[in-house]
Amino acid sequence: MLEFRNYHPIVIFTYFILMVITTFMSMEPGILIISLVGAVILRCADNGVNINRSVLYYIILFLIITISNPIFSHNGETVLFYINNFAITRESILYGMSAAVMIIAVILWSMSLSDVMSMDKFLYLTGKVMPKLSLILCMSVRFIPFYKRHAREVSDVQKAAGIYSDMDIITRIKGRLRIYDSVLGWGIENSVETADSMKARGYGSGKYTPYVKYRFKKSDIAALIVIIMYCIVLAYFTVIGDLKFSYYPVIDGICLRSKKVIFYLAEFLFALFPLQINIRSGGKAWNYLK
Amino acid sequence: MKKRKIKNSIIAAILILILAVICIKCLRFESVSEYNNSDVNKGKIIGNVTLSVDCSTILSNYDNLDSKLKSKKYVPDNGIIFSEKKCELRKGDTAFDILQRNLKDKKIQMDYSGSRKSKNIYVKGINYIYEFSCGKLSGWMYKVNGEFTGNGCSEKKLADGDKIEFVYTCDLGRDVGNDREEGIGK
Repeated sequence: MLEFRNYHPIVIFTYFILMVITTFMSMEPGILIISLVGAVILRCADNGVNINRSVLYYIILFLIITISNPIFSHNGETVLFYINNFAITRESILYGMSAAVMIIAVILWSMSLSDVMSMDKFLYLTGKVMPKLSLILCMSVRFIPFYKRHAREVSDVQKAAGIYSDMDIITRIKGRLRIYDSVLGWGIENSVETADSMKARGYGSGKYTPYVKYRFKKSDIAALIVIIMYCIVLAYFTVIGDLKFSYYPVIDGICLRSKKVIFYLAEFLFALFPLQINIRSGGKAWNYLK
Repeated sequence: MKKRKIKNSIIAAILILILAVICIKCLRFESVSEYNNSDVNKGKIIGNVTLSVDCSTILSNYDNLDSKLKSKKYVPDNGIIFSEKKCELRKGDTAFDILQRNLKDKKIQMDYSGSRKSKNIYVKGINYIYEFSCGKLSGWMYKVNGEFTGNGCSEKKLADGDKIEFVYTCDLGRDVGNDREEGIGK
């Protein structure tokens, strides 16, 4: 568990949004790899190092995106070979790889965000300004995991009752469809009920007062200063155009002697910012080695 | 349980096999030298046409051009990528066939989308100059006998003596003399 969790919601939210923006802003491979490494380290620190099926899922995603780009894009000077008279170039494969790294990094950052930023924190941030929109957002964000959990419950019950457990494939598909049917009906009813009960309790009618009070502490101010500093660095490098990187028709070289190294360093330090907080706050290592 | 696993793996193996067969049947892999040496001159010669590829409009919009493409390698000094040349017209040739055959002959890069069979080929880029490379309204267009035909370059069959020009526009055709775009909105 990260110490970062206990920070003010604004700090957490801006930090993750900034990391996602940095990742989306440039196709520069160095920035993307640093972002990916940062996201992986953060998730490992938060959940413990466990290599399971999700790693396989990300590898498959990486391969699919990498392969699909050269199928549609034939730009680039270095032709490797031809398929059906279409050139497969090194540039388009590298572009596909960068896009894949970018997408995986953004997925990982968003997963960290949804882990650290629980829904009540999100409601705390946006509930005052736009109560209806934030309720819809909250419900739609929780939609898939919530339904997945419910579907598993239903299927467990069916299994325990001995229905559709070990039969041929068609009967099993029929069973799945029945579960899907019931979950869908339940889900629609449930969301209407949630909205009704929120309304009955007066949500959005007056001033929104959250259950948990988040106070803006000294450590929050320090973190905000770091975030603003990173913002300035990011804006500076965007304005002078150092983050631009193009792949076609010839891939840009990565010059390690230019000013870009400063940005790499800043990005790396910022990506590991939550871990640095953990180290500084008295080495509560047992917390996440548990 | 065990029986089901075996069944599943058999189904997966069959699917992979089908996929592999489709890949081998439909995809033709060629190395660069094989591609360059392969002969595309098939069909009976029925006449001559002239072809030219021109991107001189870029020269007056040079600021909008992708900074990567600002080189003589991509945009020649006079803007002519393929100077006007007499080429043989073979049976069933469209403007696209002429372009592809002659550019391949001279080893000039060309990229397109669509297929010859469904006659919807769109030329995306020639000599690494792509659509949108020089502003939002830029792209390749073509003329036959000095007129924009208004259909795709793989649609219309050519006649003997036709003059084909591929021109790059930076302003949706207005700067190369196409007044057809009034009709697009209708």
